[in-house]
Amino acid sequence: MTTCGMEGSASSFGTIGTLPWLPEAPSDFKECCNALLAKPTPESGAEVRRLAGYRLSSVRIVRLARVISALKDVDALALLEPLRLSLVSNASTQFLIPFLVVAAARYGFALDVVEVPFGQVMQPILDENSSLYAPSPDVVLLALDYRFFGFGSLVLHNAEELVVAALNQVLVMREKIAKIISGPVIVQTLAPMPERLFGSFDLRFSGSPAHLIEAFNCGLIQQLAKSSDLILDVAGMSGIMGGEQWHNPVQWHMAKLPFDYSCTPLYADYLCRLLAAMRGRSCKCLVLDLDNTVWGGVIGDDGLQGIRLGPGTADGEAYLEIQRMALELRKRGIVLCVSSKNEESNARLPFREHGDMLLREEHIAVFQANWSDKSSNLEAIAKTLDIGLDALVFLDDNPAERALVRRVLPQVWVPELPNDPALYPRVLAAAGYFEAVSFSEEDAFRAEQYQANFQRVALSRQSPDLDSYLLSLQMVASYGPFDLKGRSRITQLINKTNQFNLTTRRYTEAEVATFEVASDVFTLQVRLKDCFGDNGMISVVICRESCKQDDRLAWDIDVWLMSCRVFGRRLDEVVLNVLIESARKAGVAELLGVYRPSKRNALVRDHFQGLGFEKINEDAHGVTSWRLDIKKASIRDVPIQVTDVN
Amino acid sequence: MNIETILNKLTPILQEVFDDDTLIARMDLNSADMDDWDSQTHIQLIIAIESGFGVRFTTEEITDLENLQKFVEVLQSRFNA
Repeated sequence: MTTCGMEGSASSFGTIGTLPWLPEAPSDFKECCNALLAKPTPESGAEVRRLAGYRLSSVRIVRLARVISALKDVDALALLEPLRLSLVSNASTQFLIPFLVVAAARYGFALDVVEVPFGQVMQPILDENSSLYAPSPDVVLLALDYRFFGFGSLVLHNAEELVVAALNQVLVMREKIAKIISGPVIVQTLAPMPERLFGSFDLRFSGSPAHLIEAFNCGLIQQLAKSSDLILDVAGMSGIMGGEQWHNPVQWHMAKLPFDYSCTPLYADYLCRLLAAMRGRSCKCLVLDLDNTVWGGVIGDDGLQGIRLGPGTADGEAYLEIQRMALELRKRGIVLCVSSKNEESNARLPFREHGDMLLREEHIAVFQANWSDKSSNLEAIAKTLDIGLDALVFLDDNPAERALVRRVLPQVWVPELPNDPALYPRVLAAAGYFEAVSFSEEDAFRAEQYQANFQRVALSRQSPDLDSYLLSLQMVASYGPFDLKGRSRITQLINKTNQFNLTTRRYTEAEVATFEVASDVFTLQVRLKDCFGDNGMISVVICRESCKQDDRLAWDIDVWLMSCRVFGRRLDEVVLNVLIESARKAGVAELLGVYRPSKRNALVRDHFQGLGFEKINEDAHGVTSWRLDIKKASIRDVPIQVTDVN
Repeated sequence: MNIETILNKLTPILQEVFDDDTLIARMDLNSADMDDWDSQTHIQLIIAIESGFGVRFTTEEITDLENLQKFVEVLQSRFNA
């Protein structure tokens, strides 16, 4: 499979109305649609759901909705749960339907929508023989706006009576529908109008549109307090989008669109997440990455004092807000877990010893800190909590990790994130993964019920398909010797990298400069690009040439380090390939490696062993020495394109 | 902007909206002759053209956009004003 077309590059982050938490659609989206049409299978529903999970233009939504309709006709959507919705509105809703069908597929439903003829509201509801009830719907949506209730103009007398009459009308509709179908009615709050008559005084005059709408919304909430009918918060949606964008008079005049066409994806997603919550499909667990997600920096490299968290700096406060958001979710019963690529002791350190951490170990039900791929860890978390993979939300700043999880475990919800962590809470909230239709005392305690707090669980297996995923990242590694351009970054990496660092030898910029010209030193700087962008310089190697007893040349690997951000992508093997080839050219007979344990580099204890070096010594301090015979060494096949910049 | 430039710029928009790679923008294209030109695609077409050309149509302009010639005339008046 070729495909970073799997996900487009993460460039600019859209506004909430574009559902920016969904990944960008693949470039072969149309071909995927055509393939479904050409060959429907019992598994088509899963592919439909995958495609519905992307951020789609309206044209693509209409196309996918056509595919869904065709597959439904040949009974190829068995993997999606059938759901029938009857839609009553005082506006035009025909244009809405493809958006609803696609959003429903995103949440696992095969949705049928029944519309009543335009302009009819009360008649079809009151008429038991109307198309609204045949066949019987699972749910009825009353998509009514302020115009239906006559709240668009000033009422000089008895305004309260108008509101009471409107609420009564809703009650009559709900009661009638309840007599005919067993499922719930969904009623909308009304979006306030941006146009004011008196200005701020509108709120104090009971007959103004602003006041009428506000009073209706309050009355509606009261009316539904003890009912199993549901509220769709259109007023909230228009608040997020802004009333100016929500209400589009041009489109209303043209086609009686109840709100701006560009708001349709958000409206459809809001409705369908409510349907999902109604059917118990909402998420139950938030899995957090740690480095650069709940604090700034890398704990393994930067240490307890070096990570950015807490009051005093703007980004330190932003990370606090992410933690606060997680804790707020926990308060309402969402289980919190951790999946981080880290040494476990490093990962737990801030939870135990950082004074500004809001999250503590006792808040985390399952704590996975290791170097295995995150999909295996997420599987282990779901299994331990005994919930489905589709009940997990995974929050990670790293686009490559997100892409891997989406690819291996498409059921897990993985939001795209903006570059600025200050915006994470808003995106996470707007994505609506934890939509609820009720809240009980029991829910509030659910997160605490996991007795085996902050436990760690063993992984059953590595995820399959890792190499094809790595291939899809379209990685291009480029390497060259140290030079002036790379000097300061090389120095920075040498002095900052703690985890993937075999010897933890530090050098000054002046020393690094001397390596550039020394004839008995071989140097390597490695850069990496992938489909998500340029990772910059990610690995540095320094070898010192030495002459052994029998005049054979050897390279002592003085420094070998790599940024942990790209750990697990087989770059260490690329570097070894380059070392072997360079050694051959230079007439070098063997590579000599040494591992010097530090507090933070346990990660690479078995590094040389994994690369086929032979151990020649181990001293009392755990320092191990290794040798690789260049003649016998073989070049490894790695799913990374490699270029020599010289 | 002359008619030809506008038509050339409309062609990929039409192909996308009508899901037809063979469609070429021409003045006599109209909603009555095209099955796929329903109210849904009409709205999409207006919005796609608005964003493609960086304009916002007024209510008066969109009132009678039932064929491509009308779109072209409106766009012409916008860009040649």
